[in-house]
Amino acid sequence: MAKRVLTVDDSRSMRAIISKALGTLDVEILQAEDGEKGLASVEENNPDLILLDITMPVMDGPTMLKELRGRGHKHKVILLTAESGTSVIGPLFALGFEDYIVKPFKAEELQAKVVKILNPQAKAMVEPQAPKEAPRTTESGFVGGENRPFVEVLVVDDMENVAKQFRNLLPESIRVNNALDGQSAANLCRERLYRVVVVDVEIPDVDTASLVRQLRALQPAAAFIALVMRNAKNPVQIARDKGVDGALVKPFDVEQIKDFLSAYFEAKDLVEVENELVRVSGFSGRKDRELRYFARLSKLIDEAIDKLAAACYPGAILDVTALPQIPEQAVRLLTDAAAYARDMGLGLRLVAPPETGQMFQKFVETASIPIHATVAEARAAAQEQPAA
Amino acid sequence: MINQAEFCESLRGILVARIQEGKLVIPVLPDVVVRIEKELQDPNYDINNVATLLERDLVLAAQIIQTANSAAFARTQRVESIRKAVGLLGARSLRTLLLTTISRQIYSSRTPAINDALHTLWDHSLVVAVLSQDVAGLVESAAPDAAYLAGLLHDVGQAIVGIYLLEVERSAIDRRGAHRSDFINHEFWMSVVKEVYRPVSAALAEKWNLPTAVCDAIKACDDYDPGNRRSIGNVVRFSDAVAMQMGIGLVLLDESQVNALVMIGRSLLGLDEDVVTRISAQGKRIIDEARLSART
Repeated sequence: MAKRVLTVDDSRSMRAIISKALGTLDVEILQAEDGEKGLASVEENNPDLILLDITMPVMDGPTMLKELRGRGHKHKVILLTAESGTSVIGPLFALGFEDYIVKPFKAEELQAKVVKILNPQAKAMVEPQAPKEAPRTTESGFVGGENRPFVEVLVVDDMENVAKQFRNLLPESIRVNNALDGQSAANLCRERLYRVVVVDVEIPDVDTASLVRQLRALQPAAAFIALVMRNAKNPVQIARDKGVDGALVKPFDVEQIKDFLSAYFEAKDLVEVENELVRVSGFSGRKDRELRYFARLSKLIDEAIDKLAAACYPGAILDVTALPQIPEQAVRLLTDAAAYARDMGLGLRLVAPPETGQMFQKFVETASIPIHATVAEARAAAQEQPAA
Repeated sequence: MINQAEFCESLRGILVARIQEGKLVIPVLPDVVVRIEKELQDPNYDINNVATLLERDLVLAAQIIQTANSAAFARTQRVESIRKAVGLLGARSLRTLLLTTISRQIYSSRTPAINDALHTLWDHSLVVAVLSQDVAGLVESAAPDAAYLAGLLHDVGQAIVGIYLLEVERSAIDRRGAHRSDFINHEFWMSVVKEVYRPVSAALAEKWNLPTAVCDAIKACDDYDPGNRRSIGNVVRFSDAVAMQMGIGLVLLDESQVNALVMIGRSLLGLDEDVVTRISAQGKRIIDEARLSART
């Protein structure tokens, strides 16, 4: 059933604007032209949210709010008014209201606040889909909204060639945006969501410490990497001082870009989860990076098990067909995974080719884990008898 | 025997009149800073000249290096000398650094209790400066640098008036033998400061020849201007309220007023609540680091 939103405002055109702004949401709009009629509507319709103007004839907003609370009603209220004086708004806190919007307002602001208040079920139901293309204008955006298109990397550097060189070293599937100054970077971060933001820490006339703080506030989930010159004494320390997650030196070299990809992109794709199936990707890098691969894999498998446990699956099927046959590392990985699954209350089954399966049977730590040749076999066995 | 209430009322009258007539003694910029400012106005200023001027004042030079390496200013490379600081920072950053260092000097007293109060006030000013700079950048307001300076100096009048009252109290005690403990009581002190500090802050900004945008913002930041939503004055007013909500500084308003200011500011500036929470947390970290660094 649609949530009910009551708008109490003496202006007919304002009520129409509000109704139109909320038209994209799955809510029923009720209207009242003053506090008295608003109270009557509350009694009759029991709305989930009231959008309340302050200055109205017959009964104004503060009087209606006082009367509402006096009657013991705890309806959620957003003040929607042209009044911005603290002497008027401040005293209303004692009566209780959820939020405040100053007129004239943008539809996005009203939508965002209504969605936030009308609980997660309503939110999931009413949230508009993220647009495929980034919005062209930066003026209309309510700073911090989450309906933003996703792009992998943002490079903030005053020299265009830096982003160009960086782009050339990355796989084509990774999209890269470039900002030449702080303002453009902030605009892009307002409009899009990034996985990684790479920031030159010495942009002329830009306080990069402040810029990083601003971008972080807009991109809380992104990793931040400092771009430093090759002659910088201690890039790791610089990254720490700047409050970022890592550092890249320029000019770039292929090896550090491989590390970058491995840390922020490949690692995310090493493990694929599909229902109770956790599929492990193979390793194709240099020999000296194998240890890092296994370490990341171990962490990602634990995260996948967390997700399965949270979703109440009784067991996990781990497909290690692509796992390199390095006995010491592979056995340790599976021993840890089995122990973690057990701690989380999940049974664990393996899918592996015969030679890999034989390798695991030889070790005490992994000998007791059920091994199957195919995912279908593992699923059938799990149906019959959940693994211990 | 002196009548305390009458004395306080006459003092308030004299102070207000002095401020209105522009006769209150406002701290001046040190000569060296005025000369450096003159140098910096030339787009092709000579780094050596600026460094040489700064090196003449050893105390100021040391304070500038300390400020340059503080959390609020942290650069890629650690600043170990004045020449390096001047070389690394552009004119705008150097000007901001100088004014931060000079302003800090106003917030000190040889009386320990007053010194503590002034430190609290300084923490508030610094966090409002940092928040104003960040918020100005986020809402595409004019010049984050101007927002920083307006935030830094918006409450400087509180320190100036506070110190002035302290001196008057001392003088009254010396002349009339009044009892020392609460001659100017806390309530009176607060009410006078609240009444007169804003024009004093603006007077200092004008005396220091700060840009018009900074002076105007300080004058205008008592309440929001709904007609000019993203003005620097609104940015500073909002940042001031956020700092008070964080419990940093002298809170001259009650809790509901502070909450109202934050809520109204968020809507006027078009900021999401989560963004404000993250910006506040970062500001808090900077102040914590500054406090830690001051202790060590």
